[in-house]
Order: sequence, then C-alpha cells, then structure tokens
Amino acid sequence: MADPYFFQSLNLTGFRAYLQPKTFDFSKKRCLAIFAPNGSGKSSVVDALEFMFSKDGTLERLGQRAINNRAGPIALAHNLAEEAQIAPAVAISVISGKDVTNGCRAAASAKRVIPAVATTVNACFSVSPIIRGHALRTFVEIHTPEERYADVANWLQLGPLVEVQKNLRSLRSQIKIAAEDETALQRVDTQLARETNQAVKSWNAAAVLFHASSPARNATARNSSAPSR
Amino acid sequence: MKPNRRRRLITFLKALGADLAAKEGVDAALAAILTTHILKGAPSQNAVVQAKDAIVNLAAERANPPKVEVANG
Repeated sequence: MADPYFFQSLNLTGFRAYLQPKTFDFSKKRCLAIFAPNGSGKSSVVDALEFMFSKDGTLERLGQRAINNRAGPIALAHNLAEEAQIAPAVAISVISGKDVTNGCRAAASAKRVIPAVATTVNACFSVSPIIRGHALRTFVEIHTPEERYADVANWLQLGPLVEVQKNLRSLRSQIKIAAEDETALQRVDTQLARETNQAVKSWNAAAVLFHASSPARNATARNSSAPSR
Repeated sequence: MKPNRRRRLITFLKALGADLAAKEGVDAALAAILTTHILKGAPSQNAVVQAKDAIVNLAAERANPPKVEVANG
C-alpha cells in the first residue's frame, strides 16, 4: 500500500484575507484545529484548501459570480492584490514517505491550473475534504438513521456491502413469509383429511363388536369362507 | 467507486461466501445460494426473488413427502 500523504505546509499569497505571503506549518502535528477571533482569516485557510483541490478553481462557499456580487473567481484574490502587484496564489507542500512535493496554484489568471500534486492527492480522497456546516446539520438533524448509515457506508466506499445487507434483510423477510404461508399448510391439511377420512378416529369397542357380530356381515363371512364344490 | 476498491470488495464477498460454506453448522446448500445470488459486487435486480425461489425449491426437495398409497386403488 502506498504511503499516505500528509500536509507539510500551506502558503497563501494575495489570497482572500492574506495580502502578504503567509505560511502555515502543519508538519509538527497531524491534527489541527484553528481558533481565532472573527476577521482573522480562519475561513481563508479553508478557502485555500478548497481552492487547491477544486477542479474548476472556484469556491463553493462564495457561490457563482453574478452582476451585483463579487463572488466567483474574482473573490479569490485579496482586494489590494492588484494594487500591491502581488500575484494571488496558494501553494502547498505534502509529504509521502520521505518524498516532499510542492505545488502552486495561481488564483488570478484565467486558467488557474491545478498542480499535479493536488490532482494526485485529490484522487486519494474518499470523502470530500470540505464538509460545510449546513451539510453537517442536514446529516445530523434531517437525515434518517438509515440515510446516515448509507451515507457513511458510501463515504467509506462500502456502498455494495449496504446493498448486500439490504438484500439479505429482504430475503429474510420473504423467506419468513413463505415459511408462514397458511395456504401451503391448508393444502397439506386438506390432503391429510382426504387420505384419512376412512381411518378410525377413536377406538369404540361396542361399535367394533356390533360391526363384527352383525348378521349381514356374518353371512358374508360364512359365504366367503365356505369351500367351493 | 474506484476499480481497485470494487475488486477488493468483490474478493471480500467471494471469500465471505466460501468461508460461510465451510463453516461448521452452516447449511452448505443455503450458503451456495447466498453466494450465487446475494454476495455479489453487482447483484441482479431480482437477486432476492431468485434467492428466495432457490431456497423454497431446496426446502420442497428436502421435505419430499413420501407418496401416500391409495388404500382402495
């Protein structure tokens, strides 16, 4: 199995809230939480990660560019980047085993080409690296437990196993219905009743004696036992 | 789903079926039915119906009631 990728660093230049180059070093800790007062640029860090791994080089959070807004690609650059002649860009550095790879993505040019390292890392994601608050709330508050289960299984690439599980449940209930099918039992009952309608249901000694000693039966028995001449 | 992941899942399901069939106390014929119809990476749409029919047929074969001789026939 290939070595996993770990972020070493993230650099923002003229990007979102960061006009001057700012490098975040992730090499010391594998888990990271960002705490800072409002307006400090927390979202810009997340935006930089999303920008780096978005195929079309935009941000879902900012929405599409419209006539009366500054959304879309134009929102990626810091407001003063052009004036300060700073080329907006995001750079990442990742390590896999002992190999460190760097990649940089320009945020202002028309093409905004995704670097090779980002493409490689992107292909490794089973779950989207960015999970928005509203998506999380929907997941927790609106989805049924079954939907959550299916979602998690799909995120873990285990969708077919959920399908197998669903089929097994369905098969179990259908077999139960077939096993408890009264029609089959009634058919057997009817057949049994037909086959045993001549059977003696209970021993009645008096009736047996009467039958054996009845004159008609005795006469028949005598005739059948008499030797023919 | 990535092809590599799908292959691993199919391998897992095959191994699960084989393991189930070899397990002591597990009905081998039932395990074979599950392996054939249910434990697959891409089961057919009517896999459950097919598996149910196969199990019902198996049960009918095993029940195989002896034919009652007709007393007056």
